[in-house]
Amino acid sequence: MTSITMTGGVSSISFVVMMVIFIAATIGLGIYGYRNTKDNQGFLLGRHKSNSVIIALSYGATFLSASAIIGFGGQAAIHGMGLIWLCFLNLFLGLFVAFVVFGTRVRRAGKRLGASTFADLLGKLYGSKSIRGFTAVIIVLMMPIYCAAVLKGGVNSLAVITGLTEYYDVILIVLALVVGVYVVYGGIVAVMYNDALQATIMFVGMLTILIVTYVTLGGVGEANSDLVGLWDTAVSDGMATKTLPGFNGWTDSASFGTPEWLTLVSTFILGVGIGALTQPQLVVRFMSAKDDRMLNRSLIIGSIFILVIVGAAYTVGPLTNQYFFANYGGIAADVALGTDFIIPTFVVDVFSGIQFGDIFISLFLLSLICASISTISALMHTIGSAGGHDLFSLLKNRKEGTFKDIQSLRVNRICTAIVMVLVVIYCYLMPSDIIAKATSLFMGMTAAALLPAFAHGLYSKNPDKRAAILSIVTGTGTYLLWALFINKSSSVFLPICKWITGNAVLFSGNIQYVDALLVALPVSAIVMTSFLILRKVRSKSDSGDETNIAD
Amino acid sequence: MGILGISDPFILAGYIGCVLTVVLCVYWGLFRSGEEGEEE
Repeated sequence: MTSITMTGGVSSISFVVMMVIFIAATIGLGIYGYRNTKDNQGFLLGRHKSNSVIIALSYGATFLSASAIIGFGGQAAIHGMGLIWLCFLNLFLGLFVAFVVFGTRVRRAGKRLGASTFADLLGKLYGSKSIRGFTAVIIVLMMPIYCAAVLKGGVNSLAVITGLTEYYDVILIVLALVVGVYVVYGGIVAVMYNDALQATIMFVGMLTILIVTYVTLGGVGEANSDLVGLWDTAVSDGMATKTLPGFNGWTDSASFGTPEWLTLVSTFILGVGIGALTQPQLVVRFMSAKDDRMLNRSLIIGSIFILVIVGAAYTVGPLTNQYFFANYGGIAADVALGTDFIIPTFVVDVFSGIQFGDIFISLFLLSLICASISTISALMHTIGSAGGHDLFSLLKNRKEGTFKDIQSLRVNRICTAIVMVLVVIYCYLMPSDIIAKATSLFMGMTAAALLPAFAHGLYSKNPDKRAAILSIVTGTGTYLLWALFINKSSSVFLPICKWITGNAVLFSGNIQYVDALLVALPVSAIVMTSFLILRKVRSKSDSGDETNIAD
Repeated sequence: MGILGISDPFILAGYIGCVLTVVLCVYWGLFRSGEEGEEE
């Protein structure tokens, strides 16, 4: 068995040409954004004129980062085609339910209440400064982890594929600077228009990879059938040593209740699938829409885009095992440098052997850059806005004893620039191979903390502030406790349990594979529902007492 | 029996679910757009 190192890198002028055109287009759209950002509202939400194509592509590109392609694509190579259920949840919950159930109400409520950010909207739905502040703090504290994971993953792959690993630091800083500059100056307009450009490149790149993969492996039916048989060979040859108990092959579902099943279903499929509903950077896209019609129309392009990008990554991932076995005598987990390098290693190797391969490798690289920066730009904008608009307004109001939104374009830009620096620092503090897990962590945390309160605020005629606060606090607390002390994969982020007890988690057995979201979200929802039922019962009995007194 | 080399019902259902959701989204985008216009 041979290990692939990719030290040769990409030696093609095509990548340079593509990059020059791409950077020129990015700068052009950045300038367009700058010219259309006249004030703070323009920086935060644009001109409320976004059409369906821009919304769909921006939503899709922000939603799907390099994490979806290389992080989750690599995980699909390990965990198999069962990950296609995450594609289904991305489409059904992350797109259809997000737009139809939440999108139109978010847009109308945002306009009615004059909200400009997710925290602002949630705070105004409940008339609560503390909810707004708490949501902004979660964004400022937790989102940089997700942002740094995406940046680090993109740069890692870029450095390895191009063979420029010694310039890792330079690539990281230059990429962060390019994104930072167009977000700071161009605001949401530059972010969304660049997203649309980047989404188009991602779409072409991933569709090409899917087609070439199946052509290389002899067609759809043959490639899939070969992968079915590969598992038996891997088991008999002793290659399946890195799989969790319960894994039955890349084309078979995992055994119910086993560590493999729990990791796949609770961490990857549900954690990310449900978490997409409360992503602050995605909610802002709804608020920037011109009208409900534009939101509904966005579903057409958005769904096709997500199906191609995510479906291709989760299908190609498992198939890399077939390719690596045929060419190098080992499965993906053994041949590639690590989980996050499986897809890049595969793409470079496959395309190196075909005509115009350099152009396709360059296209893949550009897709990867696009996937990374489209998400990073949206996250930087969201974190910067949470600091520069929400927290700044709350602090200023507290100081001056007022209750108004402070509209300061300058403060927002400064905060976004600070975020850019912090994200770069965080990249150096994070462990490797954690793109997919960091994504799950952030999405799970926001869903557990905010989803019940968000839904109640949008759908109730008289949202209850105390119920929302109770739900947010219990959701956050439960999630943190479970993630830091019970779940094995999330406890690595902040190993408090290890510092206190000497063990990575409190309990052994299958419970350590259950994701925190699976426990924290029901707790958060049950607490809110119980409180609302109790309040209704109490108000009924109070009104009954009053009637008796009147009688 | 399988479809395109895949016979696991859980995985097949996942792929079919994805395609059906895209069909639903296209239907919604095309035929529900006119019903929900601007209302404030």
